[in-house]
Amino acid sequence: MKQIYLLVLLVLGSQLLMPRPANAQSPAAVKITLKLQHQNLRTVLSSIQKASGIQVIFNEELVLPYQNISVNVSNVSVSSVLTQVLKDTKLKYIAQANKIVILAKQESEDGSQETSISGHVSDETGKALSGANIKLIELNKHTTTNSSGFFQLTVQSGTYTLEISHVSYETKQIQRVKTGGSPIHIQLSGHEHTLENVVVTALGIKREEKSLGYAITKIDGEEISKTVPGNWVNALSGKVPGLNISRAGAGPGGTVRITLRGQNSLDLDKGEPLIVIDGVPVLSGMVGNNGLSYGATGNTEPPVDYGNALSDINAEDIKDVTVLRGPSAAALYGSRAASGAILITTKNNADRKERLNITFNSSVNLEGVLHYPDFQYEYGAGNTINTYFSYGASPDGPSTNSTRSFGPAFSGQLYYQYDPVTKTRGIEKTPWVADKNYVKDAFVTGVTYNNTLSLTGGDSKNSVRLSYNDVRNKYILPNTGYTFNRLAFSSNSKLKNFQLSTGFNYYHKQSDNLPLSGYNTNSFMYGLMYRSANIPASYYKDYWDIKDVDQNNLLNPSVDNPYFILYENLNTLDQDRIFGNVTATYNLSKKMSLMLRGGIDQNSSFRTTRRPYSSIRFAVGRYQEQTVMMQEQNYDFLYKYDEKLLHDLDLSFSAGGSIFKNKIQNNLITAERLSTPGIYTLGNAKDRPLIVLSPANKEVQSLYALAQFNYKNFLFMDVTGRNDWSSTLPKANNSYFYYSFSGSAIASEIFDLSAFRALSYLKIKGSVSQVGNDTDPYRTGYYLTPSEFGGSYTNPTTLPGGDSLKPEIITNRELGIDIRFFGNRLGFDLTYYNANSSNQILTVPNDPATGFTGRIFNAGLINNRGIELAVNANLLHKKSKLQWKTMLTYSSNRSLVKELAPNVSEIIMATGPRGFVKAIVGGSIGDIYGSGYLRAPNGEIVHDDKGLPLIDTENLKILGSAVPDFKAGIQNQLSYNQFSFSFLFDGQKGGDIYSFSHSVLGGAGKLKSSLPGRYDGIIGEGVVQNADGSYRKNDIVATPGDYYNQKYLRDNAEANIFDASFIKLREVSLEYRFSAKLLKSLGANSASFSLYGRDLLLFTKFPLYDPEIATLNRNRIEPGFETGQFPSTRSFGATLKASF
Amino acid sequence: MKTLLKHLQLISFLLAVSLGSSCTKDFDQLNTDPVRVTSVAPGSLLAPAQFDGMWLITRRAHRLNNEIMQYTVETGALNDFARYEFKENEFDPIWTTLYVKANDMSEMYKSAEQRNDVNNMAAALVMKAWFVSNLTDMFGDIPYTEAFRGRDDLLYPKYDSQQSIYTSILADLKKANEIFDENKAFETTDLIYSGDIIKWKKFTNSMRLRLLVRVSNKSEMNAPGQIAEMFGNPTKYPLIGSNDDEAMMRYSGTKPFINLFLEMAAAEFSGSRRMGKPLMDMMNNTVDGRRFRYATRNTPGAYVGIPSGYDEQKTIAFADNGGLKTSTLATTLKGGSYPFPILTWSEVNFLLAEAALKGWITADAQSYYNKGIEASWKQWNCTWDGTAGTTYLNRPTVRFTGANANMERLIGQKYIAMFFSGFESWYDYRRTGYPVLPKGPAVKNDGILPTRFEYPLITKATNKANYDAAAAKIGGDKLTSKVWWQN
Repeated sequence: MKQIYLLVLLVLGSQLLMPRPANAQSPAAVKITLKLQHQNLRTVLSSIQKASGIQVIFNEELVLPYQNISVNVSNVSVSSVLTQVLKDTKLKYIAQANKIVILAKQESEDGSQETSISGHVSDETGKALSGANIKLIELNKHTTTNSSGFFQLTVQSGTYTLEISHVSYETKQIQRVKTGGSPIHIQLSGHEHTLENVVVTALGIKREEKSLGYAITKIDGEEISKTVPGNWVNALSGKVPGLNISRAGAGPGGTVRITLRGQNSLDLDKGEPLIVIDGVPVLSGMVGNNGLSYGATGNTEPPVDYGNALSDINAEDIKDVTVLRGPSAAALYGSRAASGAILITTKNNADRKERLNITFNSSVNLEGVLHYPDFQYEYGAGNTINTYFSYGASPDGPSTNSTRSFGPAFSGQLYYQYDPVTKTRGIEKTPWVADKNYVKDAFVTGVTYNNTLSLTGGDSKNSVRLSYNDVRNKYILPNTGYTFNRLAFSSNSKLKNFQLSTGFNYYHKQSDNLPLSGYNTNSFMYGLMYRSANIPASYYKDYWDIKDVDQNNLLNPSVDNPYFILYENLNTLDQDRIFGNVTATYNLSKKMSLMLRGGIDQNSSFRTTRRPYSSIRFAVGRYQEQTVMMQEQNYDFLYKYDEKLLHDLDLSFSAGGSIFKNKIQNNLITAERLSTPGIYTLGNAKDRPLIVLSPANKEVQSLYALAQFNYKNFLFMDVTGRNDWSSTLPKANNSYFYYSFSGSAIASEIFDLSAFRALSYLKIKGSVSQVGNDTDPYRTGYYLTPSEFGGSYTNPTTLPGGDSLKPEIITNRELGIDIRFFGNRLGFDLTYYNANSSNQILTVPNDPATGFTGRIFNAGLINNRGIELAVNANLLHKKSKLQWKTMLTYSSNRSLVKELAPNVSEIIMATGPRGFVKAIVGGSIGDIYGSGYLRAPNGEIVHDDKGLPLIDTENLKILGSAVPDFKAGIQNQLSYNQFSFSFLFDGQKGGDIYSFSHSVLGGAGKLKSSLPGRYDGIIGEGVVQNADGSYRKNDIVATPGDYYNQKYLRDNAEANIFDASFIKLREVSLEYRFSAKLLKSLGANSASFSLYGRDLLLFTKFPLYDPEIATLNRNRIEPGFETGQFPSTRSFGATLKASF
Repeated sequence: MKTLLKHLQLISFLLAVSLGSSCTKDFDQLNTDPVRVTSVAPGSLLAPAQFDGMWLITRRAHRLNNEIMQYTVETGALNDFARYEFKENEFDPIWTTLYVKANDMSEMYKSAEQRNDVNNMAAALVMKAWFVSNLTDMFGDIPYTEAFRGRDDLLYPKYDSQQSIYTSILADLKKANEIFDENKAFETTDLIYSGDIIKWKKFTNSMRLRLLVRVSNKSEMNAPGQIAEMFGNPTKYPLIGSNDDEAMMRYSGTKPFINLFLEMAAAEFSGSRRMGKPLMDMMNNTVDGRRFRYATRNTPGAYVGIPSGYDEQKTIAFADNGGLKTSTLATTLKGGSYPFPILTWSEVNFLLAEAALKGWITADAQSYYNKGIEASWKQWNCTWDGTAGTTYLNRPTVRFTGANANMERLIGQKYIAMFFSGFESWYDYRRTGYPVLPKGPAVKNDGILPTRFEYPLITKATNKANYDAAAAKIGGDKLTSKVWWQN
């Protein structure tokens, strides 16, 4: 009030005293010369007015105290003269239009009567916004919010206007804010895709999104950690167009395989994106136990999912994730990013929060089986409907016990059954009833506790962050799960022109038992397929006959007892991973900087597997120790230079080089038989322990450069070039160059589009790039392999690539459009791409008569093309209290195998239990071939003289594709006051899976689909051949046991392949953020409580546990086949988060 | 721009450091496998080829030969071999493993030849003949002259006629016998004879005898003449003359040298597999002392086989035998150190008995026939001495005299003796028609016991033009086409 009063007086006074000057100019521009000795202030100000011609307004009373002022300036601006004159006074001036007003400094400005305005800034979802700019208009005072979104301004008490702005949000003004009140809460509304959106691109270079000519997607860390207790990669599902996740369904390890824009290599070991953490690539891929997902015999085993390096990253440490969806975006990363790249930025204390800040995050997650196949509970064990059931021979007759469920119907009748107490046939008859929980009881509720504590702090130049995470998981099978301890440290130091940042992580993962997956006598799911409803799960619990020597598997002697598997067939893991990096940046000048960076990632695993005596596969036991050491080192430098080339043209030039070294040791030592049962050491080996060593070393050296041109901030062009030298290729071909050109034009700024009022932004982008790719180590030379027999060798079965091996070439073209309407409230980002992968380095099969079953060879040309769409919509007005944001993604990829090697008609990419994923010229990647029904000329199924469908095993036909037609996701975020709610549906249309489990369950009468015809027999749909060769409608009644067995025969891939279309309610989360008042009483900066659910609903016609499944086979995940998957889980959890 | 140029110096320095410090010169060494090797002594290739080749033949004989030839009958749902039904890829493992192992022997021969290492040259020829003869006996015409030449970029080998292959491998065996030299070193990893050159020579000539008898229907091969020549000069052409001489895989029982049936699940080995009726009947009729080595007894203690070629339900009923059960393979066969035959003294005796019976050599067929039986009993570690042997030989269904001294009786006894001797019984059946085996009502293939195997999927897919030509030549790639030595 005081200021306004003064102003009124001033205006009145000046009107009386001062003549109006002829010309009005700005005090900064007008220069005067003035010489005055020991004058009072009033005289000095009048002289300034005279000399400058600018009206100077003041209150007589105010200037009166100041005497004895001297001025001696020549040709100096009015403003500096005024500053000088008023320096030692309690006065100041403000320049208004055509005049200068002299007024008193506020008391706060010289340190008296201070009070404050404080508050909290968040986005419309309630997420705290750090770095928001707070401006007090009246006093022109600024501050920014801290990382928790809080700010405080110290001002003289009064009422002010606040202006809150943030780089990614709409600026907001709040009028009449009183000092000293309770903290105010401010919500900014905005859009993630504002023009100023800054994203991390290849090599860690930060760019404005509008300047990019290629497709990327950024996901915030909060989005990831909110609902994902286990593998964070699952949080990308449905949110990144073009991203496909194949899940192994092989246990708590939860390993997934990611592809972007389809599989671009005929080799399934390739095609996954590069993973980069804070600018430094890290380990990817996995070294498993090389287990076979089916058909394991002798001393081979099914796989164990030990997790992979990507899945292990702690979601709580992730600040954000940027997905470089195609080769153009990733061209600077070279060959390793031929299939795109995923850049993870970890949390650090880059905001340089000076005081110590503690954040605590605690969550508990419960998981159970999401979806069960339709099991039948009407008929019990038996090969056929006998008049009785008998476990072993009994007074009723010979044994009818069977692993199949075509036996008598349950109606409480009395039979001689298994007695779990005496572990033999019961003496008395007991009622024949179904245990409808016989499958459900095989599983338990999985629990995961996840606690993270993080500390941040620093001073004006240095900042640090330290976090510690503890995860304890119990899986849905008894006695399985893992613990995880993760420590992360990061620091930033800024010393004048020099910046240093470091990141260091130590992970320790431990498990006493990870389950065996796949289809084998010692995998849990295998045994489950052969159980019947007349046997409750508890009957299996007493699993020893003679401890350590002989298991009790009397209920089904051809498989291991399920609890024997879980409690004795142990697969342990002890894993230490250390990774980190150091980045030093030196600013040579304002235009130039040099960065040096080094990173290392070392992952050491020690795994043991124990197989007791009497296990089906290993009658005299087995013990194995596997040591896997994976190490990756990356060193690089990057020189950056920015220059204004012309008035409107900016250039940013970077050049750099890198060295990448990769080292893998995989040592297996196996005691193939044990001398004494129950002792699991290599010393207890009956034979000389078998040692298998599989090392791999590789190095790639690279040089690269990048030039970015920016014309008037609406036309952009990037040119990149990179040359790699890889140790894995023959000398003559080990150097390869690739390039990319990309450009974007902001059409809405170039042209006047105001005629289209709804349109707020239009960007057109395009790029062309070519990327090379090398291969694995040791694929050029001819090596003999040591055999198990000492001092002996075998020739390789695969002919090496030799000196003619060339790098692979992937050429990518993409076009995109980013269009937004209604003040950016509705946006579409559409990308079309077309990529050719040629000269693929493949193992092409040979006629073994050549002496070799395959050869390593450059062959093949695959075309992948598709569209990716992201839609963003803010449905409600920004000013509305309720905010509703919707994001939709859609992607569709089509591949075409254009060429294979000369004389090679097909390449088998993956072999299923029956059938293959084959690449055939003219076909697509992911086509599944297998045998099917024998069909009459009119297409009907032919039945034999017993009424059983005939299977044509001679001619393999295409039965489906492992690749979906399209994938889509839709996410909704709603926020209202302190509550926010979000949910995500995603799914796919199309895609097929051969289900081995279905073949077993269907053929063995476990599913409802095998119920029809149990008593009366069944007449299959189709025809039967007459003696004269003609066909008649099938009229032969088949016995159901035989019919379903034949129909769902493993060989009949046609009957066991199913459409894998699905929709999942992937994520639901409800969050409550504590009010500022509550926070104050708790002494917390921020706190929230949330409830979430993951994979809550599944809509599908797929008859097994989950259509979103692939097979973990050997050391990779192969799509298109299901071989005894574990059920996928539905999880619920609660998270409490607090920051102090 | 000036400052940019100034800093070019720095860039050049960094480039020099990054490339200079670890130059691509190291790449050769870096891309060299530290575990595997690029060249080996020839004899070091022998053990794995012998072991893997033997296991392939034995395992597939268990799976295929024993089912076709009704030694056993699988009652489970997955195997239809007893009904002459095979999946298209059933024969791929045979083709793949035998060719790959024969290639190891081809490489071993080349490497030994460079060092003038005659004993390893000879051993390589014998092993290769063993693998290749099995391949051609199963399939007929196969790639041979252009085979094993992938390293020379010969990736689409043409198929050769069986006659030319036989001519070649018989010559190889003859040559092997000539170049084996006791006075020279035999550096080897030999699992069969531990480098005993004399026994190798006996094995070589016995193998040649086996193959000559195999092609004896083809007059152009002059098998009788060659057999007579060998028989007439035992010094130059020593044959296996005792159980001690015979080619057996005598597993030590310690890994890796074990009988891999040990590792096979009971279900796969004997769980749902029953002994065949013809074998059990023959052995029961003569109270054969080898029965307990071959089979288990059923619940009442009898050796009972089941008929082959019935549908699954009937087969299961036969196996159950009204609750009395039927015989399965003897569990001892699954023992880790149980020896399995490659070429036995018994077989040599039966081959000579046939030669004598047919008048190719001047010798007493009956005594070789009797010796063949005796050798077999001893091979299976059965009591022969005392009256056991003579009692058996004098049984009317065994005695080889008069009108009963015929091929049917000879091959009948050989059939019993060739139990688990690879595919020999099937080759004999295709050559002689003996033993006469009943055909069940559910057999496919027009009721014809397969006369060959169909070419594997892998050669069809990767060597199509040559495959097509070969298939056309034999009148179609069928289970009923006849190979050259059958015609």
